Amino acid sequence: MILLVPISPEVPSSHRPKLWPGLLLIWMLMIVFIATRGIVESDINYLEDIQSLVEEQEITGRPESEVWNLYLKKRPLLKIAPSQADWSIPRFIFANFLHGSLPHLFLNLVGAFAGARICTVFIGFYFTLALFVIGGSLGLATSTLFTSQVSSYIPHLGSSAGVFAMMGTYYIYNFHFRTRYFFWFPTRHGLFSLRTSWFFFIDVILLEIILTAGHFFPGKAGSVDHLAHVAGFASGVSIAYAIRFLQCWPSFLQTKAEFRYWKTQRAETFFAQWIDLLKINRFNDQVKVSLCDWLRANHAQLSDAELEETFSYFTPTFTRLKTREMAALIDCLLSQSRGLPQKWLRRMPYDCIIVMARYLLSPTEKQNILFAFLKSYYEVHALADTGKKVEPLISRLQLLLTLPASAPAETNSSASEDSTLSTNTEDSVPKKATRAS
Amino acid sequence: MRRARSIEEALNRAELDHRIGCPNAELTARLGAFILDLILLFIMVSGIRHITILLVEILEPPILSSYIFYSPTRFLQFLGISAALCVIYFYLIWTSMRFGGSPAKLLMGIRVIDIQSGRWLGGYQLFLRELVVKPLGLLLLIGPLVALFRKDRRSLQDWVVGSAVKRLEEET
Repeated sequence: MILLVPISPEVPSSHRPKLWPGLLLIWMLMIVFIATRGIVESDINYLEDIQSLVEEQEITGRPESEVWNLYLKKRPLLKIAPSQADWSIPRFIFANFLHGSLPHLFLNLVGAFAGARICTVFIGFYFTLALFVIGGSLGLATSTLFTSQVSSYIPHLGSSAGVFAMMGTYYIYNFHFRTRYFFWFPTRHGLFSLRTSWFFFIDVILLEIILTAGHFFPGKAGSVDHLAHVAGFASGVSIAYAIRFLQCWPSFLQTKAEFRYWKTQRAETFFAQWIDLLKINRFNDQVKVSLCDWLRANHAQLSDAELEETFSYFTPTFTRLKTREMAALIDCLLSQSRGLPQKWLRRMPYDCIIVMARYLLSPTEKQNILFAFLKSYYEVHALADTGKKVEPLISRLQLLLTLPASAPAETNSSASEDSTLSTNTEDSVPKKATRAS
Repeated sequence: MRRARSIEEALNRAELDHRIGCPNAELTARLGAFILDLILLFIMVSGIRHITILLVEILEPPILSSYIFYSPTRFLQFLGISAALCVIYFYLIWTSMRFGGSPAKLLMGIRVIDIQSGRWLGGYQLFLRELVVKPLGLLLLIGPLVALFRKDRRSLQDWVVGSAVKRLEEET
């Protein structure tokens, strides 16, 4: 997660997270770090004293023995942080704000800043803070009480369980949509948009789940509390589910503004509702898919201007991700002699057109639709460079469409080598990996 | 230009021609993809290493120790090397054959194509490119220098196997 940092759900700039929730949370963490620095340093000194006693052989035996525990239970840090044999609920809560060193603090500040920002797109800051504390405490408690440890007086501290709780909450709220990530590299301004459902899971939690296995073997755990991360994430997911259930939040709505509109100001007609939602959040692909399906049955109700406005929301990225739906819509419009909006054709890149064209390959009756589609695209781009690319394809298709449908198609064996090129049947059109997935 | 006999082949040809005509990927995008690939590979290999160590911990007493020639160190090494080779194959070779680039390249929106045909590279080309020429070029620092000084920004491994790294998808 530290390599590709989730900075925002993919939403319009007016809905993007503000800076202040993240800044406020990291300010709180830094204040507590400074205030507890004395106790942490006295704990470090205490451990060094124990180490010197071991070297002088005044303490003998294995670290799991009672002799060691007599010394370890007196660690200064246990006054404010919980351990397996010595814990309390206030200490579990307070441990979310404690850190053992500057590197520990810095890594968690990055996560806390990102987590607070992305959560406050959906829930307010106080809810986010409550989630951070509750989810983090549950994560720390799970790790403290259920892992195999060398000694039962090892304090557990850090805000990472709370950070993962916020990530779990965000995962549920933005599951069907995309997340913008920051990569520490100056290309494309370091930003990518990727689907939350799978990439967020891989980026944030998959490795943690694997590394958690080590916590069940004494001596294999290491200093990073992976189980607390996983438990924190699970707590965040559970709490988010509960909140959404109580709110009756529909799964096709992404932002708070859409949810507010849906609950209080919904328009009367289906079309107006969907367009209003897209005006609030033009990145909502769930709404666009519903709109595509509705248009196939009801496009006759719309004027050309309304159709043009609707198509303005069908971006190249949406077309690459939902090609089947777009192709079905185009098929429906062209079959009923309804022209495609020129502005939309003008902004579509050629690769999107080819991908959609594959869905119009079969049955044979659709091939005239395919030709009409490509011809419309060519007419809009005739004078541009794209037109020069399309022209040979149009010429070939014109020639092929004059042949009888039963004429044998001579296939070159090398045409099937590249596995991203399609076969003739609609069901086997391959899914092409796209950037913004 | 050979004559296309089916509409599907015509579309295939159009797509391949389109790929060849796409602009070359920027050097920063390629460098970013390379760094991200290294990081992702390291994370995967690290995760697999942890799993293999734990597997040996769990399996050793009841099962593995009954084999006469069993040696924990050798078994771990064998598992580790096999897993690493599988990861390298799937990550670098298979994804490029299937989708046109490694996961980091896909994230950056760039693809590696055969410069003559426009197709994704085959297994042999990818093996030569990713596992032979690229590491050698990096070790000797020739690879990046070739890309810096060529007008088309093709690096040494591209020149050897006849490939090019293109930015295929535009957003308007």
